[in-house]
Amino acid sequence: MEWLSWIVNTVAIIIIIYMASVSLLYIGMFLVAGPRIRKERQLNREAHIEEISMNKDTFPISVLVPAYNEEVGVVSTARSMLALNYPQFEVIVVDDGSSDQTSERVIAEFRMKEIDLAVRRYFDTQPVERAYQSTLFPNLFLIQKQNGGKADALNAGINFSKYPYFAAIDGDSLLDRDALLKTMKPIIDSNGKVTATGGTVRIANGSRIVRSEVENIALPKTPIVLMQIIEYFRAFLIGRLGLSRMNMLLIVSGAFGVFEKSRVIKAGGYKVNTVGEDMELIVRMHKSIKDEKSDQRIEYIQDPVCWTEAPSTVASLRSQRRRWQRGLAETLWTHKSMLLNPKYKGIGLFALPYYLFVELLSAIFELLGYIIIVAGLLFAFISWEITLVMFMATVLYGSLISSLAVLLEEWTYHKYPDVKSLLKLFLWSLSEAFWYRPLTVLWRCEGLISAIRQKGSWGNMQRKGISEEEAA
Amino acid sequence: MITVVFWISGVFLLLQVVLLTYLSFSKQKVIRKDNEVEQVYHRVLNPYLAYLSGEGDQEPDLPSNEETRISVIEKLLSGYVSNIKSTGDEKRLKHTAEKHLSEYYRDILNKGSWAERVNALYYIEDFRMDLLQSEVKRHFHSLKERDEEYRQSLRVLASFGEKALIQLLKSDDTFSTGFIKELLRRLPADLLEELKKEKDIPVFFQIGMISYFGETGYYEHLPYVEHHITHSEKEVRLKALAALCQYRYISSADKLAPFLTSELWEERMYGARLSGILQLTRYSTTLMKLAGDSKWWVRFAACEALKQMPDGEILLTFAAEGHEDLYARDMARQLQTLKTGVSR
Repeated sequence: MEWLSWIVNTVAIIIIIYMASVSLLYIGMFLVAGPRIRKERQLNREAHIEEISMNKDTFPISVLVPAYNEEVGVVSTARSMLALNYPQFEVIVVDDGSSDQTSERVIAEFRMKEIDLAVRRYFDTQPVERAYQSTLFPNLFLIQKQNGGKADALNAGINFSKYPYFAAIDGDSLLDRDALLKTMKPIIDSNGKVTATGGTVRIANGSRIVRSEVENIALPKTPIVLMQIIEYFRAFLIGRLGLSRMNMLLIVSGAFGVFEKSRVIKAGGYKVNTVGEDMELIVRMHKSIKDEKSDQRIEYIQDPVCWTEAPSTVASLRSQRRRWQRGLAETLWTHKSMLLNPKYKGIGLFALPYYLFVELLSAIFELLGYIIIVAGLLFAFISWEITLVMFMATVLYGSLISSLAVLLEEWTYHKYPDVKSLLKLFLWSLSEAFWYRPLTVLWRCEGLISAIRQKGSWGNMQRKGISEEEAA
Repeated sequence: MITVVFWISGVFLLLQVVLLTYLSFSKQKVIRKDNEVEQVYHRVLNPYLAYLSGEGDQEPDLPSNEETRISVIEKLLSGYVSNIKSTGDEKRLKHTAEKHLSEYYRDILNKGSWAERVNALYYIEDFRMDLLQSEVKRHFHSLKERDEEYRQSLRVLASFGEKALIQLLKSDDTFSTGFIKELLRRLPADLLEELKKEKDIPVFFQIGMISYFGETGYYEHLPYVEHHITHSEKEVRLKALAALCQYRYISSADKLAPFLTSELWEERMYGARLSGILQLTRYSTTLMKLAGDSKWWVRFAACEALKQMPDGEILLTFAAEGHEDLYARDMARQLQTLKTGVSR
């Protein structure tokens, strides 16, 4: 048994070193992201976008809303899109062959009339069967197509769209009224050098949102959603902002992002046979930018522009995490030739290895860590010192970074209005290692396995709806 | 080893406690300050609005605490600025802002944080505080980064009609058309006239000017815009055509003919669009031909133009049913059913 003990101890030490390195990496990214958030924390946000809100030649945008069996939320999503504060835009709802009343609801609510199609085909998609235009809002369209998945629906939306930029939004997300202004600002300010932007996605559960306006920000009561809030802060305010500042951003959230259409067309559009189409597109856009030796870049803004309903049940969270992990694995596999390839500079040498070793494989490392802790406690073949060190490393691994993320959140706007919420977030973040993290680690490992087995779907969850449409 | 790990863990834990304490105290301080500002603001709002609008002579008392007073004044004036109706209102706004805020903003421009400086620049422009023009100019020249602070300083200088700005704009080709227009929108009319007379205006700047003139729709700029449809640079010609679409005018329909048969698809598109806007029926046949153009945008513009002709529905039906080109038939059918505003 001595050899077994030796192997386990060695693995444990490797995992401890791994966790310490990842923590240091996160602290490094915090040091990159923190100053930017601190610099802008007192900025007058309204004045900041006032100019472009009045600017008559702000680039027009097509807002694409892919929907599959979204009869519950599609009308309120479309309505919230129509209420966006932006000089010129069109909203295109793409019904991806829903089997429920998605199209019927939209057609009835917005009094839509069928129109003939003369669509350009940048990409091949599943056949588009019909297109409608609202008689109430001429800038609202619905296209009905045969089922092909979210990526296929987005590609069909791009084919149909007429403006040079498009925003891709999930059917279940709500946008801040100024979301387009805020996300277009880096594009306008850079005179087109910025080719895509994403903003912070915030979890809406617990907050009161009336007609897409956040009326009151509050924490949800369910611990599983609370932990996701902390997780989102960490991912967006540290991870994405840190990477974006180094022009290495690899994910613009599928929930909301703005893209230059011509760049997306050059990159080949959304890839249809993957569940991680949002990340996959961004990697391909980076590739296309680098291949062209263009100085365009992809940026992230820390402004919370999109509100989404987080899974509030264990089953739906599990399904989401498995899907995300699978998407990540597929994207990394598809673009393995870019990994550690000096031609792609920061993307090949840092961002992709970061996503591989930190975001993807951390699940395996952490799972092994948990197994060693439990085994160390139950059996005697591993030294108690190692078990203890492992345990401390695991607790500190997440909690310090989470608390730093809470600090950054406090420096943004749309923050929680009382000290109590802050304390609650902080204290919950300390508990992460004991229950939430082991669960997500397990699901992410399942996701990895399903990536190897190639199974996937649209990944629907039971929606309750986040906006109180008729309340105001 | 265990001792080292415990020490490290202890340090991290301590760090977290320090962070939490800092967050709690700073949060409490911010909440207290916000509440105080809110209270004072609601207390003085009505009397202060009366004072600003000239109904009352006596300025209401404001808190002695500088931080609160500044925040309240900024809030009051920001609300008031959108309701200004007369030059009298504007004068009182400017006077009040300069009385309470000019010294503070001078300090901020010298010593404030980046966000404070940018906010101050926003307010200096909103409150028309031209007393600070020289400070802003000095501040602008001290800036190294071309970020929002740089851009806002230029906006402020443009709104104060700073003459030195023209030379700067002419010599720096890194400004986007959109930003040039932002500055042009702020320039006083006499400076715009001076600009039009300038001989050596670079192309990027001409594009901004023409685009801005189209947006204003002011007749005095129309000859300048129309003159540029024959410019040697393609981009200038296109901007001039786009601006004419906004003006909905061309002095002679003959001038459009070369664009309808141009080798450049953008020119064909604008030519078609303007023909439709001006309902130039003499070009109906050409437009019918353009409905089968190789470019989607030209086909769209041509069918849209046909639709706007007096006999538009008939022309479109003919295109939808009898055009030799399949794409033209498709486009005409779409335009028959699509509700569209006039593209400009």
